[in-house]
Amino acid sequence: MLLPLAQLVVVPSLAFGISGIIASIAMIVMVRDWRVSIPALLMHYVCLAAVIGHVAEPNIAWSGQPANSFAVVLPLAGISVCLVLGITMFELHGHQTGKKRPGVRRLSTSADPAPLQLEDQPGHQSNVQEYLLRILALVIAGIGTYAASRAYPLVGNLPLDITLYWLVLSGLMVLIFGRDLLAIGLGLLVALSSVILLQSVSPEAATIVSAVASSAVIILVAFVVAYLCALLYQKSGGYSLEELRRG
Amino acid sequence: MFFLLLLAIPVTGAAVAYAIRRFPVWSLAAGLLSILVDALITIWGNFSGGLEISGIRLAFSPLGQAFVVLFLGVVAVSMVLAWESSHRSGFATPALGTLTLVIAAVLVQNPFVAIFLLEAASFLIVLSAMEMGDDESLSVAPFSAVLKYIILMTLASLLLTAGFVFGERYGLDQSQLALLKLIAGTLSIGFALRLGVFPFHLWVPSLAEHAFLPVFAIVTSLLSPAAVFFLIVTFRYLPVLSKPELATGNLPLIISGVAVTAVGALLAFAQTNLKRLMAYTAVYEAGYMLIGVATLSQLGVTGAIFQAFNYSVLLLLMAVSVGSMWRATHKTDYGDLGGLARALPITALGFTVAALGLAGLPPFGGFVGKYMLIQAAALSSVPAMLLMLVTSVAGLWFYLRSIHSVFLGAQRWETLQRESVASCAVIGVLIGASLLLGLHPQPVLDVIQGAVKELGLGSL
Repeated sequence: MLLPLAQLVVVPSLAFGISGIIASIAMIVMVRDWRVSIPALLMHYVCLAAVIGHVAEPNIAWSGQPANSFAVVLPLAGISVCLVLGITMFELHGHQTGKKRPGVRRLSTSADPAPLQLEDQPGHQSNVQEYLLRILALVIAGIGTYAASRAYPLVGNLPLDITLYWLVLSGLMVLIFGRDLLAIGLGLLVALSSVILLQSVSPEAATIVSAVASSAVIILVAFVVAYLCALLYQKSGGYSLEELRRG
Repeated sequence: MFFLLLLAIPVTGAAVAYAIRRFPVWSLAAGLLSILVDALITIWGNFSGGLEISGIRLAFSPLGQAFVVLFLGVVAVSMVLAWESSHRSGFATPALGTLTLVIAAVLVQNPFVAIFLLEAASFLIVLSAMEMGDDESLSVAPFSAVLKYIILMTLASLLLTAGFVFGERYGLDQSQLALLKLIAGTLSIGFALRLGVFPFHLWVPSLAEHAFLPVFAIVTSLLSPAAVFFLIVTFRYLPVLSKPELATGNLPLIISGVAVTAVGALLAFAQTNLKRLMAYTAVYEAGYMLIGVATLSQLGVTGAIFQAFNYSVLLLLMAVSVGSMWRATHKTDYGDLGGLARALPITALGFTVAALGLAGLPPFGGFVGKYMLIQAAALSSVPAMLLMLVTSVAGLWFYLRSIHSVFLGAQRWETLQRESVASCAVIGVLIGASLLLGLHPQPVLDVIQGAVKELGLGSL
């Protein structure tokens, strides 16, 4: 059992990548402020690219060096995803605090919705009980990750299986605890990262076309989430799931 | 050359439609023209030899060609359906974009890329559902529908990818029957999510109720049959799934498939709203296709693929008829309708043909498809076949009840708009297509059987 885990100690970049993924997603689950969760998402993409670059076979030449297409494309896609989400959140929260941005002005209708109440904003509800629940959920996800990677080793390499199951289970946790459309989007993007990891280690799937297609899909998801947030804000004055229940 | 043209033409059509979106009629006309040109290329283009791009092979089998013709028809009909709506200006671009992605998924010979293409197609079309809901008020209901859809489609992609990777790594050994069943189960749930089979159907009713009708038509009549086509790719990529050893142990899956179809029929039976009936019809009929595949026999898989054609044509016919009724009365509850047969005779004919065809009555295509599926189930398990027959009778009952409530009896609506020429023409074409599939199914069956024979499935 300890032998495969020892790889993490012997190979520092793999250990760095996997711990980075675990830490960044834990941050997404715990912190509801977009100013923390979006950079954490970017960190998770960079770490995922590091892991893939370390374990997957090189299939392209990048600046004269052999590299894996997923490892090259993923950070670029991650930056695009975070830019799309970050700019949208910046625009919407500028609107909330009264500093209306040009993009939001275009979205606004004659019946301009009232600004969000402070308590509706992600990051302002420091409910101890909920934080404890989230910590408990992360612990359960961690135990589930280890158990699943031992019982059903999908990739056949323990550190990678741990990463894979962590992405799936923590993605589900983000979805379950998500209280707004951004959190749901982050959960989807984390879950999609597990698909990308799976594809990158499959010889048949690890092609430049797959890498580009997967990157295009995550950017498309980011656009979908940004568009839905902006549109829901325009329609109901917020982008939390509470708006949907009220609607 | 033809491969690239096949993809470039709808993309160009989408770009032109977007550029001239201020002129909705011309925008949709540009879209329809690109579909026509693409159809001509699909039928008469030279696709022999395939094409290789960056390690990904593109190929066009006769079955792929048949499906692409179907998809082009579905998008063309959806555009005509959108033509009469006030939201039509924004529809052509996402519809053609979705079409391009689905055609690419049919051409590409790599299942991993196809999964992403189908997912991107799903996201693209539901985006257009947001601004084009039939409800003009500031309703947020479409958000829930779209959210459910994108979450479940992401889950489907995850399961399908996991199934393929698992199959590629471990499933090559036939002796590991338990492992094979795990792979088959993972893939089955992935497909069930994409098709909206009970209990994975959460996205279907909400999308039917709150999305723009042409969007729902594309999701059910294009993306669901595309998933059925993708099943063939699955069997080709993981040939071990076609082995008779797996089929013999597959009876519980068939029986549970029949049981969930029966639940789907009960849910459809409980509906008193046309849009929800359409949704649960999609859930119920998708269950039949999955049962056909679960038999892992040539007859069952052929029946499932043939039924995908019928499902697409008949559900589209139902959507066009419901759209026509909605435009005329702005009502979809049975209680608010009644006696519509005199005022909307072509719509009534279209809905009746769709309902009877889906119920599996001759001379429509649904009869041939359901007959094959019930026969395949009978060869696997007589109780499963009997339950399928009971479910079919229940299906016929709720279809007849909806026809009686909406078209016969006392008139309960007030304002009325006449049937449009475009709707009548589309209904006529779809009735013709359904009759053709029912009376002369052999050309389509030959193409399907040719593809299915290559899979090495048991002849059971």
